[in-house]
Amino acid sequence: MTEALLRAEDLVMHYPTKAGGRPGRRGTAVKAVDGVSLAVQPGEVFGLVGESGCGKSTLGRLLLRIEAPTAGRVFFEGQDLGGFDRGRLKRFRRQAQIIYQDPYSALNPRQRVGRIIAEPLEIHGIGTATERQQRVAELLQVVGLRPGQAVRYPHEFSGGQRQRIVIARALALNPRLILADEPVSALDVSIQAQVINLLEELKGRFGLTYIFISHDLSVVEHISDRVAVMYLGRLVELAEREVFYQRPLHPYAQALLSAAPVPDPDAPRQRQILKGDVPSPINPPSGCTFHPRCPHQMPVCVEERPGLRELAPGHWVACHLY
Amino acid sequence: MSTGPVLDIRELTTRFDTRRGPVTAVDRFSLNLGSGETLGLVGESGCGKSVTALSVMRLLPRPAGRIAGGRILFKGKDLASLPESRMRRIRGNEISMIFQEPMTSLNPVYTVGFQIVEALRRHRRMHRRAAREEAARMLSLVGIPEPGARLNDYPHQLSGGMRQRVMIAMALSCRPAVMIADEPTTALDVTIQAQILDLMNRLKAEIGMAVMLITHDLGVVAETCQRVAVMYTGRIVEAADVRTLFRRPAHPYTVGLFQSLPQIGGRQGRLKPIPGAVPSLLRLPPGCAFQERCFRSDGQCRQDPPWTAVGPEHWARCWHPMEVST
Repeated sequence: MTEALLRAEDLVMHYPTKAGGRPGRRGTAVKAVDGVSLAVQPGEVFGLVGESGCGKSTLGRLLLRIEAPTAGRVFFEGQDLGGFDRGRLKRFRRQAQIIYQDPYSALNPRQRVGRIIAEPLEIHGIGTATERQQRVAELLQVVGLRPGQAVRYPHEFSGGQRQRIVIARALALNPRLILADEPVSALDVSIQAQVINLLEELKGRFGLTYIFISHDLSVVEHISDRVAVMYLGRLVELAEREVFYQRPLHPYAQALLSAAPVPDPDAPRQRQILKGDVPSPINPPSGCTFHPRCPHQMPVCVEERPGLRELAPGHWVACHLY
Repeated sequence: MSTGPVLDIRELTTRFDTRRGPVTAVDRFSLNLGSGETLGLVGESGCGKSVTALSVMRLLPRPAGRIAGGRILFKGKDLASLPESRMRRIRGNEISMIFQEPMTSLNPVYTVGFQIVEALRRHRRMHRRAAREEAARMLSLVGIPEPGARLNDYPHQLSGGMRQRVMIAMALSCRPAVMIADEPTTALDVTIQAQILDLMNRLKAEIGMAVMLITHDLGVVAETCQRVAVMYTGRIVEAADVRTLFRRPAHPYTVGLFQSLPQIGGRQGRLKPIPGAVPSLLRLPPGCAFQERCFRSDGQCRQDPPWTAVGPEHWARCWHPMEVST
């Protein structure tokens, strides 16, 4: 196996709640990420799925060291990000970029698009003003816009075009890794497809690696090579795409897949409807955090937290059933 | 029970005055809804599906929005021209609406129980105690555990899925003949969405109401609707029963929507997006509004396209509909 581009070891992120901030008081914490290990291989699309509040965005922020974890380590090309000084962290940022869901709030409305895309180049002191201008023109073309549009403001663009601008900015520094956090969720389906195609095209053209975070299982299936499912701050399953979609093993992953509406009126419906809501990450259930909603609950599930185990080559599941 | 449609919308046109001129958000919209039926109204943002709902409810933002033409026939009355005082007796009572964001219809400063009880006392003239019992019964009907205790909760004390249920309970408490659901599950996670859709399907059968389900999600349509209408820039461009529309879409826009969709289990190569973007309502081309993005358009499309029957109970507003007879 080649060396992982990005590797996480037992990542934990606990956000103290209000009461916890007071001295002398035993604090509670939101366990947003609670012991996650994973490895992203160069050139792959690593899909990360889960419902709101499962910690997938927080995990993404830890992987790119936008936040420092409470515990655990992240390695980029084998080097521990936690040991990086400011200069090395800045160099790491050139390699790893992020695209957020909302292209409306990700762009400064008072700046022209050319300026927005050139900003990373300025921050890292790359090129002369003319060279940067040329690079902006090139980037606009790469994402399917016209170089002449550099003088326009974000409000003059549609949602899909704005996401293209966000992507152009993320590409400005020639990164190796892009973390895309729900990059198409705010877009209408016809535009969503345009942006997905663009992301796939850019991956091939520039040899990118993606971590693709989404709640949309069909989008993740379309774009990912491997899929990881998160529930209440933990990975519950990790597998190659085909394996996962044909035979998910974790009961939560099964329920999630069966709950996704299929755009086919004749599709067989054997929907598993989960009872109840996702419990609070402040006080998650004991043992396996999914046990209160699990149709296969056993006594051991209440007692003991199941570890992520490799049941078949490359297929990892955290469940006492197996 | 009558067999005719419970809601019959004819040539509804809704306009908004904007700073850049008047905009026709809904353009000659005709559709009917039978009792016990769920009709899906689909389309992308800005196509006019929510404005259609607000027009029927007479909840258009004033003074900018107004019904500029057409009729909305409900039980022999034309809602488009009904005085507000009489509309108030229908709204929330005989026709109710649920929204994507439950906090649009829940008042944060009153308990859940108070809000349902108020509706029951006002519309169904129930006494306080009976209304409270009925409110608890409605909450248990929508699958809320410990309904009696939940009546004393304020909306913020409930999760998103629970709030959505409370809103549905409130909308159903007066046993409406028609319920308009505007993206009722869009803000919810899939496992909660499955619960709510399942609930709506069951309650519809129990109460026998007609549902107009507004959504952009074709998966949700496939699972809940019997008939579908597709909207684009304020107009219905295609209507059919759900199976026909999904199997043999006739309007190139509907075809494009399906081709844009990544599907679970069917990994296709590249997606086939619709080129370009939805035109601004202020600058619609003459004739068919989809012509600039359409793979079948020609010079004829600069004329207003006809509403053409392409199959039994299947229409498309198009000069060159897809061949659907098989």
